[in-house]
Amino acid sequence: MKTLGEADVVVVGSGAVGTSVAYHLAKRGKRVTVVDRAGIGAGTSAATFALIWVHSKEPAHYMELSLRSAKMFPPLVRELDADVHLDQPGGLTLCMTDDDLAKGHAMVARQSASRMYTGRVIDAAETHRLQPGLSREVLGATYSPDDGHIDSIRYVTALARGARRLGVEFLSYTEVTGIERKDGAVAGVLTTRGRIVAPHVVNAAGPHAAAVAKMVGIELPVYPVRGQVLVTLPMPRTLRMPMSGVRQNPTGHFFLGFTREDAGYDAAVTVAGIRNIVRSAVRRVPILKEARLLRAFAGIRSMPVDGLPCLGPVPHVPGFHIAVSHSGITLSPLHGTVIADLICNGRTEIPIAPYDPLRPQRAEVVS
Amino acid sequence: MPPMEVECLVIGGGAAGSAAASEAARFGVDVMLVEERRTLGGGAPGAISADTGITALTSSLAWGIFPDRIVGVVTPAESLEIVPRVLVLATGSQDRLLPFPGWEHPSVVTVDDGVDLARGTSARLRWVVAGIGEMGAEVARVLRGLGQDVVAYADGSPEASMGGSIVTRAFGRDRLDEVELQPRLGSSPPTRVSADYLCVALARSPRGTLAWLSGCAMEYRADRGGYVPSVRDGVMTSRDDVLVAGDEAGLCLVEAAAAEGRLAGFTAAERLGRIPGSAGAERSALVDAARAARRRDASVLGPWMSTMWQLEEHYVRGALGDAGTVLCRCEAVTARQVGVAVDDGARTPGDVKRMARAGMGECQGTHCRSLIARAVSVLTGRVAEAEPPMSFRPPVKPLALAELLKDPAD
Repeated sequence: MKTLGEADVVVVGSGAVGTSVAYHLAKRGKRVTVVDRAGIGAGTSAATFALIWVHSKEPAHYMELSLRSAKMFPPLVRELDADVHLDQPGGLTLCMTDDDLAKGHAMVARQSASRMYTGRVIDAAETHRLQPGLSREVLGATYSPDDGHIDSIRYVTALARGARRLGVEFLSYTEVTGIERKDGAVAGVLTTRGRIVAPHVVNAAGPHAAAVAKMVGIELPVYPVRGQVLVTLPMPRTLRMPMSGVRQNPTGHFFLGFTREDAGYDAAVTVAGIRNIVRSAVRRVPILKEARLLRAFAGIRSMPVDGLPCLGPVPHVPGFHIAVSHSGITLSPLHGTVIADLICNGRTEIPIAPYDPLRPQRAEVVS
Repeated sequence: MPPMEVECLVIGGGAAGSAAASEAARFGVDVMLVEERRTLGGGAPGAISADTGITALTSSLAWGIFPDRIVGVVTPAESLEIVPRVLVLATGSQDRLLPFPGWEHPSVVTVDDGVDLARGTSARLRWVVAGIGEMGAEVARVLRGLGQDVVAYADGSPEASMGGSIVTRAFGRDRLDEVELQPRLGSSPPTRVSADYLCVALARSPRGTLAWLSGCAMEYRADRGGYVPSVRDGVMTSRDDVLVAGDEAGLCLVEAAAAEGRLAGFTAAERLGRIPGSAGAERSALVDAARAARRRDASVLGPWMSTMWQLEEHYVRGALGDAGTVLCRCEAVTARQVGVAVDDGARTPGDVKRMARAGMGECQGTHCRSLIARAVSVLTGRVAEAEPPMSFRPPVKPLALAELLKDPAD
């Protein structure tokens, strides 16, 4: 196989996580090549709901990890100097029934084990005060001032541009076919275009991460889940903050999405999915009845069996690192920082022990 | 409501769809026909008569096709999910604009919009028509027939007298002021014409969205006007349960549309087991008729289409040389922004859609799908025809959310 070149690190995947990893490594002087089977940000990052979400991530240590990452966005976006529609005004999960409210109280009680937690349950009056445009049916909400949203495509494009300026090379439409090892350690990456010699590989392949992990003999319990998303034509700005399932961009477009389906890698949208999303959204925000549906699409997202990120090195395969989670947008700044710490310094200040990629995973009901 | 099962669903009630529905019904097939307009026939003769046993849903939109052959349809009364055993796509084509400085002005219109505008006004407005040969001249005649003042016809056909002329720029702020025209040959300076509207009759594309969503294999066919389903025997696609006819299979005129419609209706009846084995001669006669009609239509449309592609290339290259020119009208994406996306690593039309937002607006890429593909090809040196097109997403056109919730049971 022809050798394309050498790099300090090959990153597999050019979504939010992969481009952030590449950017953070390049900032610390590493020569990085990013390989992706499709275009930059073409996979999950282009079809995500794009929340920066903290307050309902459980258990508390995962909420803390998400919070650390959420706080990294403003300086990162300033550094990238691009308009990525970053907006962190807080976020809501609406309670439509007494049962929702009871669950919200229980979740906040569990999360309050962490001193970092800023979430709380708010009553109907406060919910309506914080968020105009809601239905009278809304009984309250869980709320945190730390949540927000971003334009994921602009964000990934800006990260890729920043990385490229620091010398990162992107090989789009190039599939990784194998990983070369010498005495057990990573020695290079084989692709459909040729070999790249490199002592480090970062698996940031999202829903395809299990296939990449298998190349070094690791069973990574990450499977694909489908989420359908609807986008409306722009409407007058109404919502002040994003919500689980309904958000409005600064451009006025509404994003709606309430589905999580087991459909393998089939990114089709379904009539039932679309109509359920519309029903749920209109029930919460009645003016949406007047909105016009512009497009519907589905994203294939990565889902670790226990819902927690897989982040860190693989000790028995020196040079192999994994950065995969279900919340790639929220965690992308932190994933980039942690992987750069690990590769450049051999250690990180951020507590990642619970996210050991090789931990035994048990299925959990995750939020 | 559970999905409604029908034997044959025909989408599009123009010449092709109406012929398909009538032919299938003739063999006793239970046919449902969905047409977006209030009437069937698409202005062509042979519209369906009332006693054919066809369920016709007019003023109804088939807005998407989903897994398990579920077709989403909104009618004036309800939102339906229809599951046909055989689907015939005959949604036709749509005319589209080409990019020159100022083409994003709202008074620069397609033929369909221009004619609608002329029908809806009592004022006598001044029009410039840009077209190709006799087909463009016909647009000018139609507008005149509607009482409009066509002040200039810019004929972009190379066979036009003096080599023809093309629109190079539209000027105006709130209203259109002037249109700049440039002779194609020689070195005469451009002229400016005052006008209220510029009607652009330079390009058309097969619609494509439903064919794509139905999972048919698609291919780029310059001789058929762009991305079309791969067909054999005129109307059969890569999917046994999906047939296409008329412009859906590639730009044609009414003759081929009607002939392919009949063949599609016959084939649908065949697929549903309604045609006796002895009807082989009838089938081959229909196949031959459809093939001959398309060949005749192609002899008229072929030169028109090659001029269309030449003009598209000319305009796109012009836009790339004048970076401020818009390439995606809905999202106001300029040629410069497309260039930046390519510099940022975009390699395909799909990448440009994502990274520059081209094709993400209200027209769903109707106007810019082909333009962006060509621009990417010019900028990257990759062959436009070899790249997958920008994705087609449902709904086929923006649809009020309330429409999707309509249920007579509510």
